[in-house]
Amino acid sequence: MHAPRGRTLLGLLLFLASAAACGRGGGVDQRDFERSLAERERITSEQARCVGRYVFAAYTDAEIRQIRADGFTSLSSPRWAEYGHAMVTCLFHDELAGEPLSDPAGP
Amino acid sequence: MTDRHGWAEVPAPTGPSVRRRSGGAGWRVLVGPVTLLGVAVVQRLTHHPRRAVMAVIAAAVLALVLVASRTARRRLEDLVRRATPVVAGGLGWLLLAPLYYLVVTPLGLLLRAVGEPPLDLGHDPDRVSYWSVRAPGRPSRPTRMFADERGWHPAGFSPRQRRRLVLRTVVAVVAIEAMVAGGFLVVERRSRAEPGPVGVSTMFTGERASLRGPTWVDDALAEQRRLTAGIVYTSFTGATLRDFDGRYFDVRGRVRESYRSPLAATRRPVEVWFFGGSTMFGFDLQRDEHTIPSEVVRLAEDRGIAIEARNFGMAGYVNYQEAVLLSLLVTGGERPDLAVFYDGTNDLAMALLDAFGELNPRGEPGDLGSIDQRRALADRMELPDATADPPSPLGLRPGTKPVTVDGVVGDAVGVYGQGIDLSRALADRHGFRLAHFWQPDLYTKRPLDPEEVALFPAAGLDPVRYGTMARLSARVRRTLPPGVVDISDALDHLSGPILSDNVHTNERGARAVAEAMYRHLAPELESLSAAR
Repeated sequence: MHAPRGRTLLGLLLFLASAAACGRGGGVDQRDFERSLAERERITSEQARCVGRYVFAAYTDAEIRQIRADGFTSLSSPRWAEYGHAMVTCLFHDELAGEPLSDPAGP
Repeated sequence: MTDRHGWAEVPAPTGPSVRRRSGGAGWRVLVGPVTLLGVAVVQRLTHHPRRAVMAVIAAAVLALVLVASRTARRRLEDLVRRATPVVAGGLGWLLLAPLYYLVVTPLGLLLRAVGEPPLDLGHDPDRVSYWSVRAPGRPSRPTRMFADERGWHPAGFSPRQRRRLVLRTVVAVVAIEAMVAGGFLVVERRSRAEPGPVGVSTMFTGERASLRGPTWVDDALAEQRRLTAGIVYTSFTGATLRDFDGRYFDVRGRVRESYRSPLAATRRPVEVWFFGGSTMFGFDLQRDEHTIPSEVVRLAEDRGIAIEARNFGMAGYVNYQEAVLLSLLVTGGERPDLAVFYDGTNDLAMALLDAFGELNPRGEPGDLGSIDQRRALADRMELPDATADPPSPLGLRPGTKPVTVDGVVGDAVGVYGQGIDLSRALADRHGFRLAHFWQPDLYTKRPLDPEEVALFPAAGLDPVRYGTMARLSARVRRTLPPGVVDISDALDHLSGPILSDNVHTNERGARAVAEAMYRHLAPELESLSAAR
């Protein structure tokens, strides 16, 4: 009596999981985005994760799909800054961390 | 068999004449394979041949299993029997709900509104009975089961006429609804408030603490919006503004009006051409007579020097574009005494956008509007595969991945140096002097006013991102080509908010930049003035 119920429950869970997966189809998987970014930009997975965090916090699903397909300059220009600053921060932060903010000799 | 209730009982079925109910439903097991074949057809039609083949294989396997196993058949049949009402119910709701709410409901409301409710449901205390009297001429019995034969049309309508009437009614209702929805949209759009003032910069914030106070600001921002609607593609320089005659903005022949010194009427003025991006033009927000060039004219006037300024600043320009514009002018026969260039933010932004966004080929002169031109070209060309991708690189500074700090700095400073090289060649050939200034911005100003720190979110910044950008900006400034004057400290220690976004300033900022410039220009201007 328990086995058929278990199978029914499993089936129901699988159905719900696939329904949930269908619903998520409109978005972009963050891990996929980061993997593809790391590959394209030849950056470390840690740097890609850093960019992913900023990007997924700042952009809509549609924008992220567009960034992934055509690059962030395919967005309208008011939407460029977030991505550009994220790339600079995640790729350059460690290298620039010790540098002075201005030239001691001037201006 | 008549009982006391007055109806006849139907005798219970007996013997071999009773039909077995389950015997005729075996066809249901075909639903699985047939559905899979349907999926295969759809996949084939949608150009997924592999999926189509897999669906056909699955259909064949399922059919074989069903043929071979009675248990499988029974289970599938059972599953289909259970699922059928659920699927049918769902589909019925999906298909009929729009019909109900878009056609039946509006029709019902319409009939109620005109006093012809389809159902006689109202309470009427004066009525003796709620039985309806059949209209004369109607058949004594319904001719069609479950049909309301009162009808909206005269008796004698043929089925074809009835279908036409129903179809026309449905179309009319949908058309009326579409018109009502359209009308609503038009009214809603027209009643929407005039868009608020916007800046030229993509990071302009509506708060604009730096512009708080003057009564002319809102009018000037509205005028600026009309001015920028005149942006137009312009050969070799990318874009310019069309002529504009306004109260705060006056543009003629790609030159913005500047303050005119009365001294210029008394002697031959020194002609100074000013090149730069939106900050040189005076966007976000400076009036004609309070831009950087206007303030330089005033500073010179205070020292007895007559200057005539021509402000060639244009939103989004990088130094190389400005040098190209200079080349167009001087090879056309015009010549300044002194050409002043004011750059920085756009040049670094372009290097970053080229490196991370493939705006232009990395490390070569480009422009910030190139993607718009490429898109327009790709859309206009009637070639099916035309794209807005960037062109092939010249290979001046081949870009490598990963992008490094040195790479971006090298690109920014290298391209900037090419612009300087071009303008120097023009100055040597045509006999005029040059000055190049590197501008202040949000990353250089010390200290930032709290109202300027409040711009961070609009600029896509937080303290970490700001710090990194500021250090990158500092690295670029340390590697500027020789001869460039770094006035990135020009806004330091000014009280109150000066910046309206990451780089544009109010008129106080323009004055401060002009003062910083003038300190370096004074010897040149004095010698040029003396030579008149």
